Amino acid sequence: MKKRKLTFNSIALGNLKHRKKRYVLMILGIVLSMVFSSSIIYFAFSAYTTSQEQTKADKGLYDIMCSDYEERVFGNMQQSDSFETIGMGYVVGFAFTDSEDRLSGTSVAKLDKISKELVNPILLSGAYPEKKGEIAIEQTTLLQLGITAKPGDKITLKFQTQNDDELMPEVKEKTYVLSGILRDKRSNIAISFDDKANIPSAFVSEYEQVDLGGKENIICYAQVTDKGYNEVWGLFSDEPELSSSIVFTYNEGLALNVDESLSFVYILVVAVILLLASSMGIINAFTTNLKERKKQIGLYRAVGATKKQIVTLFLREAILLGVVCVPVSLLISYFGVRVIVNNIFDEAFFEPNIWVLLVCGAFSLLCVVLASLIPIFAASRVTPMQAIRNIETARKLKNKKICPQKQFTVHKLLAKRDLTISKRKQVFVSIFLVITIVASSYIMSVFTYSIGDIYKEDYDYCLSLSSWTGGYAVNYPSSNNGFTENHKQTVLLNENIRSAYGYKNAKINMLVSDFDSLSNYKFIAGLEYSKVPETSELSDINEDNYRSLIKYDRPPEYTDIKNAAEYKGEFLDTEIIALDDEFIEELNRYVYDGKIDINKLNSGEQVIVYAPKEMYLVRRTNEYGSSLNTYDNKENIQYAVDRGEQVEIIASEKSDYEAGQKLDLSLIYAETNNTNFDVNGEPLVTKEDVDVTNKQVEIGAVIDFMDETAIPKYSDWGIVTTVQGMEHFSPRAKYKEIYFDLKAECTEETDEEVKAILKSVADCVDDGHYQSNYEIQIEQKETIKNSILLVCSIMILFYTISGSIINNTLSSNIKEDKRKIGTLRAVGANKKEITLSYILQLFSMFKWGFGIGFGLFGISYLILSLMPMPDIKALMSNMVFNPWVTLAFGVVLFAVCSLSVSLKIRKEMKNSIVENIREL
Amino acid sequence: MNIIECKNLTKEYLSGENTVVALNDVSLEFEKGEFCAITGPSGSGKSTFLHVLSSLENATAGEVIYNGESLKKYNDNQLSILRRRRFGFVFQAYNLVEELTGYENILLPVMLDKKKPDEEYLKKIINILGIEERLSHLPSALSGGQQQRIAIARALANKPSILFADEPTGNLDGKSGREVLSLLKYVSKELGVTLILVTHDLHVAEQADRVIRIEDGSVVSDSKNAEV
Repeated sequence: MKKRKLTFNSIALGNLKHRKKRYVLMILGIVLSMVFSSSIIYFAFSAYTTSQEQTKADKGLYDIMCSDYEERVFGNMQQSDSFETIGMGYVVGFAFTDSEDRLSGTSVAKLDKISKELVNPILLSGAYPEKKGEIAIEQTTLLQLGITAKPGDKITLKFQTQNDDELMPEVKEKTYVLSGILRDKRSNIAISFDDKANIPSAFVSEYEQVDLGGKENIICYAQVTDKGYNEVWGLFSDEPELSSSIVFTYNEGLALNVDESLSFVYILVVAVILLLASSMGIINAFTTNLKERKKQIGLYRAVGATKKQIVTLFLREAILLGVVCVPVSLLISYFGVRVIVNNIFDEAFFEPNIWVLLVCGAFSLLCVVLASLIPIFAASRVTPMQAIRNIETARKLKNKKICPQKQFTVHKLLAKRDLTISKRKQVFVSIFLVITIVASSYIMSVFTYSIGDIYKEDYDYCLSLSSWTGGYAVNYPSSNNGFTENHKQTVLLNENIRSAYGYKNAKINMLVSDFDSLSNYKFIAGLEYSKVPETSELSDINEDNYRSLIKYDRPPEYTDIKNAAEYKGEFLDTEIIALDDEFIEELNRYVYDGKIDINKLNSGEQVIVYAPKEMYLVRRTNEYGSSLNTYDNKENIQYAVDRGEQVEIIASEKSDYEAGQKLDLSLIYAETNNTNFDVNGEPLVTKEDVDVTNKQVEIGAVIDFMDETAIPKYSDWGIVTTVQGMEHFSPRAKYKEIYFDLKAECTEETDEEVKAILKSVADCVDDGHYQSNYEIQIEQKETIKNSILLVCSIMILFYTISGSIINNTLSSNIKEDKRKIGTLRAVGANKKEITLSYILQLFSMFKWGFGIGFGLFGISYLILSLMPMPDIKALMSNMVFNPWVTLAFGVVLFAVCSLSVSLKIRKEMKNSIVENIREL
Repeated sequence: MNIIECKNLTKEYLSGENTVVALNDVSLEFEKGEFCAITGPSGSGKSTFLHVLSSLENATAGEVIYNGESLKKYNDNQLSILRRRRFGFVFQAYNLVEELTGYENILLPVMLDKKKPDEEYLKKIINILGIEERLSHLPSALSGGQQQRIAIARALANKPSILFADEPTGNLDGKSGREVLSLLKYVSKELGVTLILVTHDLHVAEQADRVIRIEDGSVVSDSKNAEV
């Protein structure tokens, strides 16, 4: 006979072989727990990394870029705690191809090592410039320059050499070798023409020198620390010219140490909760057969095995289980997340965080090993004989006070006593239910908010500009960019379009004799540029002295403009908006003085003034300090209060605009020479360049319109007229946005047809683009569908593991109670009585789990809602109290567990009574 | 008058690929109030016979007739009701419900039947069995003899017609065994209960009115027939 050597491994393997079914169930439990936690954690961390990588690819790693940079400020910045990493760039000139369209050009810069890391140029093709005469340009810039070239080709650019913060007037032609095409960054960062001119999107090698006669303009790329942007503004507050040249990428969080980032902390908290839940699942899988294992340990001990040998045996078994479970779980998690990711994200940006998956695997393995020791610790408390003999119940009941019953309902008494015996199991299950309920209630609360946050536009289609701006108080050709009446009519020709309406706007100035003579209302409304003299403190300002302590602080070009337009007094800059008739009709409900007369508006005789009924001068104090602000309604003031800010209304003034009043308006148009651009792309204004239209008009109506209209307004007050009326002020102004409505419900075919027309129109206009509400709705529906899928998967996973823990606990109870079931059957108990005794135990676990879980959720939600901290307030504003879905899931879980109990009892009762009561 | 009888009872088990015949075509009748001992060597099928006769196990073939009615047509629920009302069981390993006290164990069949306990009757049984002092104890705090007395009281609590006892003295020492046996004999006579007892102990069997010997699943002798 072949002799087999008895080793720990062979015993451990033998255990696995002989209890195949039990171990398969155990492995399933462990795998389920591991997949549950590791896939969610892996997904969350990968999504976090992905979003960071995507931001880095889209915008770079820096938070601010400032041009007009001086060595002196550089010293200040390095000493400041507000900056973490600072890199230097050097602008050597401005490159363009079309003299009539300078804004399609770009600053050309060379970067030092740090700034290159911060800018993070990503090559789509070719290489980054390494030699003099090479250039790499961003893809969109290349298109805007009208250059079709591939890396290695020679390209010729019109070039103005940099001279400190200005450009030399001479335009020369320069030929570069296009070394590489870069992924777009400037178009993702720039929100204004200023930004566009400031941010270099073409780079040359470090060997490139500025042309003779010029001087490089130093630019600085920096990461802002978690101390925030307020300090950055503080640092530049004494450098107004610098402040106007700062570009923010709004990459908040990227520059911070990863462990300081709030979203990272959230993910970490969720990860810990999930790992705890998963470890409970694993421990549960091991303790399911605790009684049997304790008996087995007792037997080993009785025949002379030492504790160390038993520990070794169980560890081997656990490691064997771990070796099976961990790779399987990690593979399922990896591929599971991939499937979800493919449905949700653009896979190209997905950055899998394999390390997180490996950490989860290691943690799970540790859990398996530790959980395997539980029966040993449990068995170590009893002697080998006690472990073999079934005196568990006696031992557990020994210290419990039992009140003998004279009469009782059998299933109730049995459930009560069983719960007394298995108190620990009950507490374990209840704790897990509490975690499940609290976690899923919060998940559902966030989810309910996110699906309730669906927006629907009032229009079906829209033509708009991706960026546009005008200079201060002056209209330039660039600010007149937009869509024409012809464009509108082209779209209207399509049979599907019912109507079109849009708006034009232009800068306009209201002439006043001097600022001191302004009414209090007009003074507050015009406070956009204001300054509190250094001798005064913000806290000194009150209702009586604000007129004397706050001074208008006009921008540097104010005097230039005043002189160029030959104004005798002062002016307040605002805008004039021209609306199509559909919009004008909407305004009737906001009129609080006078009436809208379209004919008089069309003739230019009258205008509408939009001005809030009341203006408020407010002092806000938050963690960053105090500031003065103007508000046009109390809701916005309340919003600041809700965010936890201290808000004091210094003054409130009622509107003094009345119908019939005369206004002196002046519109300046500057047909500037392209060479007169300063480095920011801001044209310089001289008397010779400007074309001024002065006009006295009557106020036909005064309106107070709020944000509920689709009509945009960019300042607290302004002028409104009809499109026809605009001809009397700024005939050159074009439509900034045009909205289109369909005749009938949109279909996919209609959408494709209309989008094709809109695209052809948008392509004719600089920065023109179109939007389809139908497409937005489809995208949103798709996002919601995916979110529901994701949340449902998480909820189902959560509840499956809860169900598995409860099921395991009750299964082990039923298995352990086999003999009791037989005895009860022998004395006449039927299936109903026996099943009810277990369902009552289940009910008790749920009662405690639900009670504490929902209580905890409700109380914590209430406490968090009442907390004044801005971060918490912001967090809570993204939630809608929703315990109902969790409750429904819980009820389903209870029903499923009850059914499972019933089936298990039924299975047990398929055996004869004798089989039930026979000693194992 | 027969209270219970069986006709052609056969019970087969599957052991691996082999079929083991535990009972082979057994037909017997039991009269009301009779004390019958079933004896035989280990593995002879005597316990199996008791289990099948008392509906704890189903027969492979044949039928059990209680009070003239075949139990074949009884469903699980009806059999449960029959067991709680008409049958009492005493097992070798006592089979008390561990988390219930002695008194609660005794009350089990009565409570399962949702009846008000007949306290006078229960008091009488408890007195006869001498367990007044142990009623509030959990089974784990009782000796084997005491546990078996509780088990007997439980078996008698619902005034059954038949008391089935499977090696009731098997786990007890000689003295306790003798006491339990005489109590069983006493209460069955006192209460007019039919006592069908399985034992391999001939001294126990000697005290029965009737002794049936089973070997290899078949009845090899029946003292009643011998008398006849």
